[in-house]
Amino acid sequence: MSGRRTQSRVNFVNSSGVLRVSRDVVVEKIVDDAFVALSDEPGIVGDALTIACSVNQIRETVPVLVMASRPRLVNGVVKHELKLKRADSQRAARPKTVPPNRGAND
Amino acid sequence: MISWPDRFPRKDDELGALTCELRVRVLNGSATGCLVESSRALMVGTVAGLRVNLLGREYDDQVQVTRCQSIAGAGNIFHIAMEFLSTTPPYAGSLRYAIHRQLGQFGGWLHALERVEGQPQDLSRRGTAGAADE
Repeated sequence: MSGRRTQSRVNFVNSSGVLRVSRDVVVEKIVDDAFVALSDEPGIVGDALTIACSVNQIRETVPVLVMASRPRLVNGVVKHELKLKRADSQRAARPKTVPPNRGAND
Repeated sequence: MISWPDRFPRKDDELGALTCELRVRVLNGSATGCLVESSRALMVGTVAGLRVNLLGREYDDQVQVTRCQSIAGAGNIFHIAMEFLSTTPPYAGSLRYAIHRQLGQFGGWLHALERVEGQPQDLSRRGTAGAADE
């Protein structure tokens, strides 16, 4: 070894874990079950993420899927525009299950 | 009065946080950090929250990536070294606390109490006050 390890170590066996990595984004648009967010880093299409933002003045945490990621120039700086879609099927499916002119009588 | 330049987000834009959950396997740990195995690389300097299941109990801590290297011949397997970001003393559910216990050490922080006039200040005894003094 290079002498880097100066502290005694504990070895783990069968220890699974989860690493939660967060990054700040600017949420530009929220349309139905889709979000458009600007990020400093590109996204990976198909990645399952969680977005925390204000939806109708209410703080929400929503599981999303990355649908597309493309670079965009914002004030001379390269940012990445991420198209995200809600991954929680119940919320995403709700508009389709309710007929458009129902609701007034309900 | 604070004025915001135009380059800041427009009024209708909201700030948010995008969180990615990465499954890892913890290989080993020390009092200052740990080594995990992952299928995805992380940039050095990345700050993350690590939650680990050890013997049926969950422990968590904040960490910062210090090194990330791919394992030759193992496909998309990366070894990620990370150090603990200690913004709080180790508590019962923290990974630092669990590792300290495994190493047979007592984890804790030394707090400098307010100096009392006329009394000598011995910070080295403060952390074990009570146990050794009784």
